[in-house]
Amino acid sequence: MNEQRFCPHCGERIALDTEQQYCMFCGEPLVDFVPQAAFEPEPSYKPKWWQTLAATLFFSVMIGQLLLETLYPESLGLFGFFIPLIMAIGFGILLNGIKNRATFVALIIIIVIDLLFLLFIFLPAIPVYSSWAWMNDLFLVIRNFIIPLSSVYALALIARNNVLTGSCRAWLHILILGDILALFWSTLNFWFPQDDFISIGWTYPFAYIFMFNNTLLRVLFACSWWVVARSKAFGGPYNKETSCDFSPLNKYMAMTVIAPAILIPLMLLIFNYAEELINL
Amino acid sequence: MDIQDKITFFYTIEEKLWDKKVEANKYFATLCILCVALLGAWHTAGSFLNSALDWNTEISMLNALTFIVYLWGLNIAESVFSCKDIKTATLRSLLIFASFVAGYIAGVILGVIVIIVVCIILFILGCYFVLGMLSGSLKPKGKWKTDDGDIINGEKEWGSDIVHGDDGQDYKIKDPWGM
Repeated sequence: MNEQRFCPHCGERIALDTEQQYCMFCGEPLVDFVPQAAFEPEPSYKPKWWQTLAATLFFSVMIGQLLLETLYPESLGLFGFFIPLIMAIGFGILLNGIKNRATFVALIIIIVIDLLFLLFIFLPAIPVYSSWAWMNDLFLVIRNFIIPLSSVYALALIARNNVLTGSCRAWLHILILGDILALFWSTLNFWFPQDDFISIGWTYPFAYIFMFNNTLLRVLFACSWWVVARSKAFGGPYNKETSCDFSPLNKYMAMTVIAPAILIPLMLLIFNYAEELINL
Repeated sequence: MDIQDKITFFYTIEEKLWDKKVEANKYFATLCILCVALLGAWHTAGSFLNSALDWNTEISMLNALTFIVYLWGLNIAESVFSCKDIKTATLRSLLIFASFVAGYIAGVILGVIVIIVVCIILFILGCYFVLGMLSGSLKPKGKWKTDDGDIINGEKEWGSDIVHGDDGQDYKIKDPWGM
């Protein structure tokens, strides 16, 4: 605790650890004592230039991907190669200003994930009946389960090992929600094959509301990368001696497993029984 | 209370209820509630358009229910992340579910109101149109304005712009509807 406290009567500094009731200099009682820091607004953090550069990269790439997917889907074949590449470059820029070892590890994990997405572009080149077909399954497992889990682990490392403001932490939670969503969808596809969805009616016109919600969420993700990249976590300087918490047993990892595990049986119940209940 | 507090109304409410126990995102919960309200509005409007005009706009109750559960699950995860203790997280997720139900009902009612208002406006416009036609056709005898600007007495032929004048001549009139 580095905050300094001053006597309201004479203005002399008071040590924080002592439990004194009277000022040692003027003798006035300190009953109505209020710390000086309570009146000062939070010092606003001014982001470094590389943070703004990386944030601009993230925001423009994510919004550009969203616009291209809706307006000109044919271009995604080429652009899909550049999205993970530009994101990886952005995280590489952020490596400039890491604060501790945990943030470094988190950024390395995210960069490796983005480079793995580059590999996935070559996935359709593997024939289904070749002896390399097991690579398809391996890629699917990595993409559907390992990448969301490790991504949440990396983001939780950033959230738990840095002093962030409340709103910045809330934006980081939105990013973790995105990875939970990825895990949710891949697990849902595991339980329900695509045919069942169509027979249930998860199609037009319901798909439009779903796409609307999805678009809103993706705009939120772009905004949260903008906020998180410009936060204190990537503003330096690097401190080697900070003790970091690398444990994967935290509430973020727990909710990543629990949320799909509760939601999917619930949706299974609705799909199987609610139709009969509603049509009573 | 300025306009931004009204836009992010759920954040304002939860700030009043649990001041420093919750550090949630400003926009996420409110956006989810608005999405559910949109779903409710689509539910009524879609089934109305399906039954009236045979459009493929109907969504089943099953879809609506699964969508609400899906959004609620996301918000439960967000409450667990953002609340300081488990009691606040439980209360916040329950409040969000109640807001979802309220938003859905509000959306359904708003959908009904919008349909009724659109029907009333269409009815009034139709009345004006029909009355205009009738006033042009049911009053054939009277004063008419010709193309040249003269005013003559005569009887208009139904469905055309020709007036048989009282002096025996036929005139062409400017405004066949007589308005």
